[in-house]
Amino acid sequence: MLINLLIIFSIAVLLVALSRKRTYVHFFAQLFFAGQGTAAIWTVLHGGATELTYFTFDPLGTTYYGLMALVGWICCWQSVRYLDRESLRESKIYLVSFMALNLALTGVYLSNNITVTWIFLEATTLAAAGLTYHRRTLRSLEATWKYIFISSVGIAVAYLGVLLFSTVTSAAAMAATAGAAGETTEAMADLSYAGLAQAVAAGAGNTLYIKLAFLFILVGYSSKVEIFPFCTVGVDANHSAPTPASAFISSALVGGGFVAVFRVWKAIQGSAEVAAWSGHVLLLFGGLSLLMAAVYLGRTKNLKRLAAYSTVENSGLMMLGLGIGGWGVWAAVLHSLAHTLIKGSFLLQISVVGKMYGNYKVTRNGGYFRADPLGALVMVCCLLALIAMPPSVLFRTEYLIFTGLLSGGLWWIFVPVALLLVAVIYWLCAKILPLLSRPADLEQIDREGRNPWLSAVLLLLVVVTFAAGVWQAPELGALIDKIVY
Amino acid sequence: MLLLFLIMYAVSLLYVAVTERFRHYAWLVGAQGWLLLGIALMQLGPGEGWGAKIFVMAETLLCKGILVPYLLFRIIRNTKINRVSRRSMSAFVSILVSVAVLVVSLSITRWVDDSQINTLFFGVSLFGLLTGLVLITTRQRIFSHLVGFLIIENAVFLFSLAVGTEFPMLVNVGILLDILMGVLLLGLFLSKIGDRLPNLDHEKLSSIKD
Repeated sequence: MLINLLIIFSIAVLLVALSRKRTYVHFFAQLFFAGQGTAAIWTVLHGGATELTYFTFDPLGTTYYGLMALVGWICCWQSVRYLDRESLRESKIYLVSFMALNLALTGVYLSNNITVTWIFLEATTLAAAGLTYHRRTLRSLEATWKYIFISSVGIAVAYLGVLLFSTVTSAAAMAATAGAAGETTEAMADLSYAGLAQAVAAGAGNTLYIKLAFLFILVGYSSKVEIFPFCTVGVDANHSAPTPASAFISSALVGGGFVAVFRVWKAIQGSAEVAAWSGHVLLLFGGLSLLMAAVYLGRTKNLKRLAAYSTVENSGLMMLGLGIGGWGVWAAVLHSLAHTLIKGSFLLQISVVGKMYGNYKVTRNGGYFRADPLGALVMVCCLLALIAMPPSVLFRTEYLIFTGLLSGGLWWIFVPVALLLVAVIYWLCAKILPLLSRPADLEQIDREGRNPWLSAVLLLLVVVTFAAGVWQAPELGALIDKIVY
Repeated sequence: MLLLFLIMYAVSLLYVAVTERFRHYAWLVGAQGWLLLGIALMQLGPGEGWGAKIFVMAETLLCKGILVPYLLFRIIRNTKINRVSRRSMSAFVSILVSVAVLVVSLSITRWVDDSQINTLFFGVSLFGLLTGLVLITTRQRIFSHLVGFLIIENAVFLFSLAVGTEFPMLVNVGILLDILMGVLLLGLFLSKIGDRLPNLDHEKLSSIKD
């Protein structure tokens, strides 16, 4: 079935590329995302199945796939409005890149093999570069070059990690054949996550290699999950890409990075020594990501970069959650899922702001509440959600992470992290609230840029995350349990 | 013979650190491709199937040994920039850094010393990885950064030989994809960056600000 879906999606991409009328281009693009939504439902209904050897429909993959299909469809809808002045050729290149990014991310979410995940993450670099270079300006060229270059260096480093993991699974396979036949022969490395988890739990291979492999993979994927050290290229890519594409990069692509890191992290938990070490590394990377976000949030004067640094902050918190372990992991997964919806909504609403004001400068624009009350309401709700103010679901996850830090005796991490979060909250409020309330000449604002239907949908999404913050739905809890345990 | 190839590979890395001409960079990257071909074929052994040999030849000879240096020479011809920036680290300091990197690589290799990994391959590939990173961080011009990336890619390939495990085809596909990424970067450089940034200094790529 998966191969049929791939053929159908490829045909949709081809039709978008070959269509000569804008209406057809948009129609086939919407059809592609409708197909993605249907496929996501199908994978949920066939949960646990494995197709084409390398793709398993487990709860983690299918949940993110569903969220990506939803966010992707809304981003495509807004992209059509946002890029209404582009030429047909530019629109087609943008939409084909966007759909290619969707397909690559589908592979990242559903793959059950560390090499397949790596291949699809590399493919996301290419597709995202197409979106980043959309404007064809010197700035977009700079962002694209940096994104491809740093991501490629990161991906090459991550590959070293994959090769090191292969020594571990190979050692396990050799031990198994030696046990059966009584002699040691060279054995094929099994690079599935299940195989890796089994090998680590069995104590196969050198623990130093496992530790190094995890470190390489975390550093390599850091440009995707937008954490220290390579998060800056993600921020630049967000800045340069058209804003609906930024919404997708900041939500679904970051989710893809998280899934890739989470699967590796989970596979190495069988060894207590490695688990403890990986926890320390994640705490360090998470803390440094928070520090970077807090510092740069204070410096930035651009709404899109503000949202991008907020992503760095949230990804840092996810890493802290994984690093703490226990309930922290549960919180990290919920945080990542909620962040996908909230950040997607926030940046999509920012795209409306950009359309109306013609720029994204936080120091200049104002009067948004009067110009677009519904859109302003979405902005306020997203702000409340991002600063983890109750009823935001992020309040629940951050509360769990903080209690995890304290109960683990990690007060020396708790104090700086709490202070950095205070700085983050201050900068977000100080830079977004004036946009809503600062006096401004409404004649200067293009009110045609408003998109009330989009704002209504985004409001609904954010309200759903609020509901998850106040009502502990048993289904949601069960889903996260399935992902974590 | 294998040892000789590995020593020549390590020497090429030392030479990368001291040379200041882009033409030499291109020659060295190409030479590394040919050395990797020899090393990989020796590692495969006579019993290996033709499929694996053709795959290795495509990766090393066609991509690393011919296509990549050809693109590098075209970039040099098109951009007419042939030396590293004067503000870059001097050759003397570069060789000191390179020797330090070599000592670090050997020390780590000695510390790791494990039967699962061929330590000789491991040491040289680690040296390659660190040399690539040093080139990216200490040189001014983005052409040097590109060469640094290509050297890292070669180091990753050598590391895959160091592991000595029988890989599924998927891993080879991954390595090939990594090489193609390098070719794509070269193409992007050739068609876009070279035209718009005449002196190729990385300071020119700093228009994105907070």
